[in-house]
Amino acid sequence: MSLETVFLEVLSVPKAQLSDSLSLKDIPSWDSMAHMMLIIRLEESFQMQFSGDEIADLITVGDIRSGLRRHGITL
Amino acid sequence: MNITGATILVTGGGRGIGRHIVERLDSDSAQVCVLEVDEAACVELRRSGSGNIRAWACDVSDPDAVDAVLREITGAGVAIDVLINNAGIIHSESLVNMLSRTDRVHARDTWRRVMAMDLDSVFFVTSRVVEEMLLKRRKGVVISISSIAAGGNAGQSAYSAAKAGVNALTKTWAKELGGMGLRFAAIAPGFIDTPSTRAALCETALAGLQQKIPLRRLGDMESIFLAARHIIENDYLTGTVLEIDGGMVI
Repeated sequence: MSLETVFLEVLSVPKAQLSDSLSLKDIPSWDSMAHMMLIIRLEESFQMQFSGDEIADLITVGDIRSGLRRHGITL
Repeated sequence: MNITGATILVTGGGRGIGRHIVERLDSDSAQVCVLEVDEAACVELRRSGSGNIRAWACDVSDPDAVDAVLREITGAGVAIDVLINNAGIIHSESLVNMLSRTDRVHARDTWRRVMAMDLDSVFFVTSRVVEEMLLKRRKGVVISISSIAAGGNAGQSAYSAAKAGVNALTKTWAKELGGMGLRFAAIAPGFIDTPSTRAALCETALAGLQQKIPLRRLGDMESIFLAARHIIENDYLTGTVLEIDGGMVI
């Protein structure tokens, strides 16, 4: 599953709105619970795991892309 | 989830229903951990059963004590699969006692104590255990011992309110955390045949009580264990309060 598909499924954000500067807190369907759902779906999709500190630092879509790349994921 | 090999934390496992659950889980080859306020009971638990029961002295109504003991447990490499919130106290007191010549209303300190022991403890322990489950991405189960008094029992304002709170937390967390693979359920026992029940009721009261129970007898502690086992093993069960009461409605 791609990053775009995870965002669409968990937060109902279409691919066209998924810019790196998009802050998660500006997504109407985002909250702390949705954040954890997003993380779990990303981890399942990309077979990796963020640390607790990394999760708290994922504030924008760009942060998530960078975080995935740090774990060796090619996007 | 299979009980065999699962790591199961039981609060208040030193005596009564909690002790029975601990012994049965141990005999079913679970890795049993206990939080128990009575240090002597902890020592006794460590020597009992398979010899593998781990017990920590802890007052689960104290958030700092809960945080400290769970840091110790997780620091020792223990990853909890199932939490059973069993610790609590039963307290009966009328809202207003017109026979009293001093303060007639329900004592404030007993209200606070019951809420701390029966409701705060569930919140404190569960929040820390769930935090660890989420950090480790482990699917887990939380079972809380409620009561049929949650529906409202005359003479038990604090106890009824606390147990209703336990049911509300169970349903809230089931909705909030189901997507992360965590399940929550409560068990609401009716009148169970324990030493404390026997001590609290005279023979006449006991006989009268049994006439109000459709199955005409007190429940046994094994029925509570069987409910807990069902919750653990049934992976499609969450947000439910299982009433184990012989059909009694109060």
